[in-house]
Amino acid sequence: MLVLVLLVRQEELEWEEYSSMAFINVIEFVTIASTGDSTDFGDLSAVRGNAAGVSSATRGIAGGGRTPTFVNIIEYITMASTGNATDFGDLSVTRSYAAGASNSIRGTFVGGYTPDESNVIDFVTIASTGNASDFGDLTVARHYLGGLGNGHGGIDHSTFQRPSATYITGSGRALYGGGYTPGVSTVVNQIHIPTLGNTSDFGDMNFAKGASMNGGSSFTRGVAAGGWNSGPAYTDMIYAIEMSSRGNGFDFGNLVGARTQPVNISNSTRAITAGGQAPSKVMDYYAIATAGNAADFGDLSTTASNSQGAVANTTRAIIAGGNDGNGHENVIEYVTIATTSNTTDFGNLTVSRTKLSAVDSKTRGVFMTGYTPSNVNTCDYITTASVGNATDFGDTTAVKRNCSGVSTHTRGVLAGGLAPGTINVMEFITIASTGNGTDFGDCVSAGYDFFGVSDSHGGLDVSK
Amino acid sequence: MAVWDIKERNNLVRSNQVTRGDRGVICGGHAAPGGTSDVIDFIQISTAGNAADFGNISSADRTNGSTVASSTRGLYFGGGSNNNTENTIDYFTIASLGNVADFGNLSAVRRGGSGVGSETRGISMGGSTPSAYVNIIEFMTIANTGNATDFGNLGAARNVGASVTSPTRGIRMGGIQ
Repeated sequence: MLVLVLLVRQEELEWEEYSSMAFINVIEFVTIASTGDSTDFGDLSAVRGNAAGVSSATRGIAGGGRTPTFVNIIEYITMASTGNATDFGDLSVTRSYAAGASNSIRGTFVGGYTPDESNVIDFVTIASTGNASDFGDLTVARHYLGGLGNGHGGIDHSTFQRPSATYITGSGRALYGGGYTPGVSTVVNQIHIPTLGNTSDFGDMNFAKGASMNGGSSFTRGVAAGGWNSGPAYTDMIYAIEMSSRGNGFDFGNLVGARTQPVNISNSTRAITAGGQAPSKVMDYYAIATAGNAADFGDLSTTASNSQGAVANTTRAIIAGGNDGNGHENVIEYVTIATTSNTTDFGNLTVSRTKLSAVDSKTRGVFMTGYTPSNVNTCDYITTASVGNATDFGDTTAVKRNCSGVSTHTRGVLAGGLAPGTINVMEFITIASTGNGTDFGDCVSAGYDFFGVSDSHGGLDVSK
Repeated sequence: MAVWDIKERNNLVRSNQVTRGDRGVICGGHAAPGGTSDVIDFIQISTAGNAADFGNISSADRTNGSTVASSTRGLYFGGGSNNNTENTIDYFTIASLGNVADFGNLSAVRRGGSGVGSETRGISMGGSTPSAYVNIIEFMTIANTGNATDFGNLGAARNVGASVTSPTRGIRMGGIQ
């Protein structure tokens, strides 16, 4: 049996080989935009096959392989020139048949054969030299695998890609997504906050999710975390969508724990997800620009808060109301977004309530509607840079709850909700003044608990 | 009223370009003695950590296939085993987890080719059939679907070279011939 296994292993490794085979050190190139035969570039330092390649726009790197002895050699070439390869360093594990995947900064060497299937992933910084460092592990150890990256050296990052013919970043685009219509929805719709009108189709979420209250966004990317999926179950998934181009979103990462009805808030770089029904007083945070999992930020003052409202300026996130499991809250508390900590007391809402919504400018946050335990049309506001109790702002056009708020620094728009049935109404307020809500337009579909994100909310410094 | 500085706006958008393209995707392979794998894993290249499940390629029996990618779409083509070699080209959307869809075919069955390319064009260089190495270079337009088109030839029939790429140049390194 052992002999048979060894024969199988040998056959697996050598089915690419023929009687006349020879390892080579040839480096050759083609000009991608043309057609034609390859041209000599130079030589590797020694004959070698089955190496893995990674590259930026300026440097190409070959790691590992066999001569036929397995090697840990890493060497590099300068893409725009011709010439022989130069020593870079060594892989962390000697192996062949690995895959390469890279962005413009970092190259990873993935899996391979040692001579056993390897799950090792190690990486190098392409612009430097040195030995590879441990990155992590594959889900399944394997070799002869194919690797790619969507930011590799062949993609011209220096080329400015216009987001669209008509869209300018920070111009007031807002997206409403997910929610219940009445089933858990994947639909993402858009509005242009400065212009009254109905929603129009933007794209789809890659998974159905509701009850991910509020939303965070940078100038270019919207994020919404937690909620209730189509399982149905609480979810820890963080969903992200690019604001600049119509299309679908993507899986960004995961919260520390699954929970529904948390509130999401952000400035231009960091998003915070607070509370939620697990029950939880947990706050998580993550960098909006970099997909990945969230980390612990600190705790809310109450133990089971959910369905809150939240506003921000560029430095501070302020969370108000909600339901702590014992009743509806009037607590307003805040954190400094760039740090990690527990919340600090800010003041109180004019009316204790849950399932409220919020909009913000760079100086003012307005909390709108909610449930007391009956629907209300209350709007009250705070000055985000100070502390203190909320002040009456005016009323929405109807009593309702579970609406979704988005804003520029000038205008806040509230969409959908329960009044008490599902509604498609959108209304707006002018944040710098006080007054009642005015009709904005209609959502394509009636719904509630959408996440709402915009490219110019109070947490974004649109003067820059 | 906000006054927009076009240069600053441009820089803001361009700075986001730097963070784009941070996903690595790993397709197929030999998973165990005698076994093949249709697993697709992904990693976040800028952040060290273990790979996670992405989806599946069209067949587990496609070891030693090749890859090319734009910023949005990945292609996995060719591959095989002792009993089978394929000319299939799969594609998938890199930003979204899921299984592959059919893109088209290489001009002939092949494994061990080197994949290079730009945002728009993917190129297969060399490789092997069940009976010989090949010098074939052919290309695909990544944003479309369809069969590969002849590009040219390598200096000799060659297999399993490492592949690296810039926006203008595709380079294969070493291998066997």
